[in-house]
Amino acid sequence: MKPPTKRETRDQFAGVAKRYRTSIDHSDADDREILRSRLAMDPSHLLLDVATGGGHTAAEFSPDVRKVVASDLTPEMLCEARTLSAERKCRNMSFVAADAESLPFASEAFDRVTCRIAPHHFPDLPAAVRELLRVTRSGGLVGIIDSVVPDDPALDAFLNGVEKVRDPSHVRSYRIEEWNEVLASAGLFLLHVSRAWKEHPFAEWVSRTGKPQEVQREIESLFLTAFPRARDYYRVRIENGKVVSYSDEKGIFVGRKT
Amino acid sequence: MDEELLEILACPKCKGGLRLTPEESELRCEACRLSYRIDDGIPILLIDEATTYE
Repeated sequence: MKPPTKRETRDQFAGVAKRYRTSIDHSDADDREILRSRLAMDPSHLLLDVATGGGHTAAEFSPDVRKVVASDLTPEMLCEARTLSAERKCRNMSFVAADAESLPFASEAFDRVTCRIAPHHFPDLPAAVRELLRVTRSGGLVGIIDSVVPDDPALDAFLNGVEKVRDPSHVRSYRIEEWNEVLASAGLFLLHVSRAWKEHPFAEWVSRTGKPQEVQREIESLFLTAFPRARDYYRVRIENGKVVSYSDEKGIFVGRKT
Repeated sequence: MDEELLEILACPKCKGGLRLTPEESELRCEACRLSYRIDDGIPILLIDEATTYE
């Protein structure tokens, strides 16, 4: 299957932007607190949050730094992020529509760069990571969080397959080892790698991408009929024949630009 | 537009500097001859959304 074009991804998110501002999955803060503790931000720092989506990470970190620039491929998403920043009374945030694979910023412009729960949408992950590092100053820190899959190829194929049905802009959730290789090749000295489980309440998760009811039912049946190892691994909770939730893992990566 | 932001913005294609038009409605890359619009205060710095100018 061909990866989605940038316009297809933009159109996908434009139609459902508000759901990402109000999403439980994206506003939940556990993994973000790990980033906060590892990124050692200070009030002199200029922070870039790439593919900010609903703006949760950018708004959460804005009190820790001098200024935050939040970028996203989808202008409608930035309007939602701006609404969130106004609700949170963040006065140090700017918004720029940008493609993570060709960022519109000067080299070495930022002290800290973050990107959370977005790289699985990037058609060319190594290109995006190179750009994240290009705009980070030497010695600056980069923090990335994204969905990851286990080494077992069947479990990898199951979750990536389900995600593609739910979300046409899904490209791939990678294995931790794939991430480590991409980050090291781009020149990031890894300081921290960990994984954290995240539970997704099914009803909100399955409806967030705006797919019609019959596709939502198809996705539910993929979980209900999943092979036992997948049901166990992804902690699929079923009550009265309905999927209540499932869980996946987030990879958390923090490194220094060498 | 925020001056500090303007200083670090670059053309996504050539990474060169951008110039704000006098009416502050567009950012222009003179090297690429590309013009990037500003929508409701948000610069749209996407190559496929840029227009060329003479």
